[in-house]
Amino acid sequence: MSKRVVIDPITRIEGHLRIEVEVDENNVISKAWSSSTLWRGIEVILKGRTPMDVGLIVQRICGVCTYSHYRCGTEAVENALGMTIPLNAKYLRSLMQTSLFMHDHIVHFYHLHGLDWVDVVSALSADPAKAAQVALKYTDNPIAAGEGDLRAVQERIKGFVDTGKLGPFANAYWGNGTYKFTPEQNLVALSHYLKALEVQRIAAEMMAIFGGKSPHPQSIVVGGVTSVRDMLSPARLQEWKQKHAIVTDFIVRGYQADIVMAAEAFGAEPSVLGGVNVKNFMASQEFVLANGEHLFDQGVIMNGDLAGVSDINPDWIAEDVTHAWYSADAPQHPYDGTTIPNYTGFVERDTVYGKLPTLDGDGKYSWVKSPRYKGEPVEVGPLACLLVSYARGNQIVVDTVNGLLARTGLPIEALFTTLGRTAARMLQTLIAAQEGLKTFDALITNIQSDETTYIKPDMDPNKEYIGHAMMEAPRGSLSHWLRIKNGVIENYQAVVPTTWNAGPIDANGKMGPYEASLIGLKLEDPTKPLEVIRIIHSFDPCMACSVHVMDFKGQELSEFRVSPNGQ
Amino acid sequence: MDTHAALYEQGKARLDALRQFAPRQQQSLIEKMQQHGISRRDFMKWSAMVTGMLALPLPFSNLVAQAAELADRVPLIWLHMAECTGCSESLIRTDTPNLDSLIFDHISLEYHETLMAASGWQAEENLEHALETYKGRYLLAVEGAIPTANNGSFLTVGCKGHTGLEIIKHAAEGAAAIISVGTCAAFGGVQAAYPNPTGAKGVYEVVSKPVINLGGCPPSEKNIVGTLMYFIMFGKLPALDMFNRPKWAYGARVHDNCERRGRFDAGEFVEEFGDHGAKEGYCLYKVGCKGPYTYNNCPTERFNHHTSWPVLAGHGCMGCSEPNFWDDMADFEKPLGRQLLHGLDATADTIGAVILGATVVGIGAHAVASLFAKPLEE
Amino acid sequence: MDHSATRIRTLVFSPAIRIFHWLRALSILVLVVTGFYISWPFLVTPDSSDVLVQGWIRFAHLMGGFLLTAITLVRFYLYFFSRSDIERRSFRDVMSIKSWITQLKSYLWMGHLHKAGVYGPLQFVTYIAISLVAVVICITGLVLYANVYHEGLGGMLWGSAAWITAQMGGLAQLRIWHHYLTWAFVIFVVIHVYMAVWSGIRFKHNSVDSIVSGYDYPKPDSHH
Repeated sequence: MSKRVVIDPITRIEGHLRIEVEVDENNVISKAWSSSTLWRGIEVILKGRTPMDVGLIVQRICGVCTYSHYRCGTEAVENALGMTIPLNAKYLRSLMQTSLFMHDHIVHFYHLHGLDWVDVVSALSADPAKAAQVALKYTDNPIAAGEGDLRAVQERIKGFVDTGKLGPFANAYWGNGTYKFTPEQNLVALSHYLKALEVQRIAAEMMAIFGGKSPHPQSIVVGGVTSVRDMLSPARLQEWKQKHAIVTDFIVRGYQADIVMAAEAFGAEPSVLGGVNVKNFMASQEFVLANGEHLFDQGVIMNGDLAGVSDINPDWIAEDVTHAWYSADAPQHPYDGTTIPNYTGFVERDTVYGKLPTLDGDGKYSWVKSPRYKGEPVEVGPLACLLVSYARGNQIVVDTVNGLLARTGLPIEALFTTLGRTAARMLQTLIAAQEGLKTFDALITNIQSDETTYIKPDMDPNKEYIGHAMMEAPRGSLSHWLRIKNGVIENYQAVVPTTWNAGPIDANGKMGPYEASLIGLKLEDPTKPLEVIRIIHSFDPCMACSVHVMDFKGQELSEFRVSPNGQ
Repeated sequence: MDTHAALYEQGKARLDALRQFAPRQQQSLIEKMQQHGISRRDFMKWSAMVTGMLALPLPFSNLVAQAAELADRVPLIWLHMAECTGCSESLIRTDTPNLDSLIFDHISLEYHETLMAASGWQAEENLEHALETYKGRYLLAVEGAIPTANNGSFLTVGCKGHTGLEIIKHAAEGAAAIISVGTCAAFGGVQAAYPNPTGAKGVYEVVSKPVINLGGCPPSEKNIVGTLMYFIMFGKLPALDMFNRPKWAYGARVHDNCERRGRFDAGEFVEEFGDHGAKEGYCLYKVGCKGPYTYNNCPTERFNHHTSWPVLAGHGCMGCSEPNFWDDMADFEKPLGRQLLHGLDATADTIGAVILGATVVGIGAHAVASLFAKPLEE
Repeated sequence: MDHSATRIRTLVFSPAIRIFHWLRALSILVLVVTGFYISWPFLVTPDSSDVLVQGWIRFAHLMGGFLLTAITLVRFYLYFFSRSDIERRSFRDVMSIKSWITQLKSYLWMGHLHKAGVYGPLQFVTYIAISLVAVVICITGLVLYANVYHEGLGGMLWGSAAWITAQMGGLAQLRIWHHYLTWAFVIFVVIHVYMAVWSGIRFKHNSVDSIVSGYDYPKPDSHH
């Protein structure tokens, strides 16, 4: 007898995500559905606005990868207008991207994902002296993990837990059998959870130095970057470098060590050794180094065949809405897509929590579309990024990945797991942080002979323009596509990382990466599905990103009908 | 009653109210202090000192002592609607106080989807528990606009499939105070921009209670946490401006305190980004700064631990703390008078000039015709 | 030809009306020019930051604004309480459909309206409209003023200014309406000057001079 489990809201993510699974009598997942339950309609709002404002508007798609859409939208307009921006602007944008990755990945691992790995309650019974010794196993110079630090953290949390009011830690899955850290390991990780709160603030300040603020920086314009005074100020440049040093130090001594620790503790935990069931990966190139080189490569890997990595062919991207709350007859390419909402609501049925409205897996059940590459689902994200660069023989990536594998004694196959996905995010952060200094140095060299940061865009209102930009956001490959007519936006489309990962089943019955990753997973207690949440979190969902900015092409508002009663 | 007496009464009433909360710590502050070797006498001396620092008469030291014993019990429920999580991201950057201090020492964060450990069914239980247990006493913070079109079906949250609209209305009923965090919750924000396909609205438009609006996309971490701390410290809501924004943060225009205001008055303007004026820090009015129409404390508090703000980064203010700013303040790289009127692809001045031209042509035609007209016979 | 008493010298505009007309014209000229400058500062900056270009231009705009506000108030007063009822009498024509038809025809070179007061009906309605526009632009101007100057008059006005700002949906909306209404004055002035000249020529009277000298010289039979 199969049972339905509903998980909504999936917390510690960006946006509104509902996951439903069906488990058999052994509590093994046989079916899974992923749904976003919010539609904002930003694609409709963009129509008729000036391309110069596009960046600022699409930035509001997401406040977490708050810079990715801003930059991608702006660069799509630049591409449409046939512009090349000054080198300084490229470097500054890349440095802001570095800041974003450092911030975003730290916050994701510790504050969003962390509590899937770390049992806060268990940390209370740790011996701080022993924990300090444990920390030394994973790095020679642990951060915030001295005996005194750990004791202070433990006392603080103890005082908090003693109140009986656990606030954000209440009613969670503490004690679940798939938490594998020892109390001492938990205490070390908990200390890093608090330390990371401090460090992420500094990483956000890095963004603010060239971006004006974070989240939602405000210094990129079509044609370049506005923060020329910050770029020309030696104090500001060094401020960035100093903060970069502090955050990188934490990544090396804290984040990296914790991943090594997790690899050891969870290396035999079956629930994190699957979770990569779509073995197609896509990544875009990212981070400008000197001489126009990029830190990470673009490409596609199909069927896990690292030897067969190929270039992305944008023509092979199409979006399917068979099971999404939109109307369309067939899969559509980004340039020809439509977005006609068609909300069908929920279906009442029995679940492990009693009778509940649930997703209609046979019909439409999500605001996310299902993008496909050559008709196949594709996973994007840090894991895909590292695999593509690794497959291409990118020396920095190969060395870093092999280094971690050697240190943990794991084979390359270990990357194709939930644990591997989480580890890949750390490696990507580490590489981006360390190599970011090359971009910084390239900027310093260039400023000496060139202070240009901006070229005025030249747009002829009588001409039509088409353009797109592809980049690697913290959650994976991101592309924005647009048309300009009469000097205003005619249609707009973003193909977003979480759309690739979180989309529902397509017309051929193929599941996207989220859904596929859950199949075969055994749950300890279906009413407390920590294992599911952990796997989904390893993708770093960003739902606001995934639902919107599909295409809008010559449709009038009257076509946007939603059946009020859900039928 | 003189002012001090009134204030004393107010303080006493506030503490009485706080005392009714279920104790959060089994161990009292006094017991805890004794463990750490602080006597009751030391504590009273400290209270008297603090009272003196606050320039209040001695009877108040009693209140100060009571306040310290009672502090940190304000339950906070934070809901996410049609949003981008930018406001939560802003919250976690707080340093006034830090987020850990906020959560451990000042508020009891009962529900916050981005930060809470529980998910799904358990998360929903936490919400229901908090709404019931702290009825009439919790602070409600809302992030994101409320989609209202099609009965709110563009957003559902939770296993039970309630719409955002239903959840907000329910949560608002028992709230001691409601804070709309960010322009979306306050005024509808980006999804409410023309043509507002989901019927997105600000919280104050869907509940029948006063709402504090924290404009900003997102508001600075200081404006969010500062407003929470105002309630915690003073036990009442701050004074509000014309759009129900706290005056302590939104009392002055960005323009009033702008570091480039002198450049404005001197008539020194950036003509295009990256030019000589941009390098010199000239006024950004001509490249679209909306600081003159925007109330916020960005120039004085800045963002991210006072690191920067858009004008310092060479980009004009986009007016993000004002209602309907996505429509009213666009184009963001042009001054207000040069914005393209929606649907007309022309500026007000172009249209004015065209009407003027048509008038002149009409006058010309009339004048010429007058030359040929039959003279007036009386 | 009959040379006896072809024209009568009649006082149509009292000195107060004439003075206020020209002060108003002056203030409108100053306000339009400085207003467009404030909207789009087109002058290049001088070499020294000590010269407050924007500051001085805003000062001129403020002086013009206060002048216009004062005159708008006084003119409303004069319209209702002036000893001469020559303006108020025109209201009779406004209420008469026949007068409207006669006047509109006269603009198309057919006939001539013998006006009850000094203004024709369309003219009268236009002046009322532009006076109301003046009221709105003065109020929005004062709200903008109160946002810049927080003490004194600005401080006194602040409460109402904040209320008006909220009613208009924010300062940006208020500011842009202040800008739009400028165009009403620009277009009005052009039509106004043309009509004054044209009607003097067409109807052979002293229409332009009269706002300077105060006198018109109507034919005896054309004056009631």
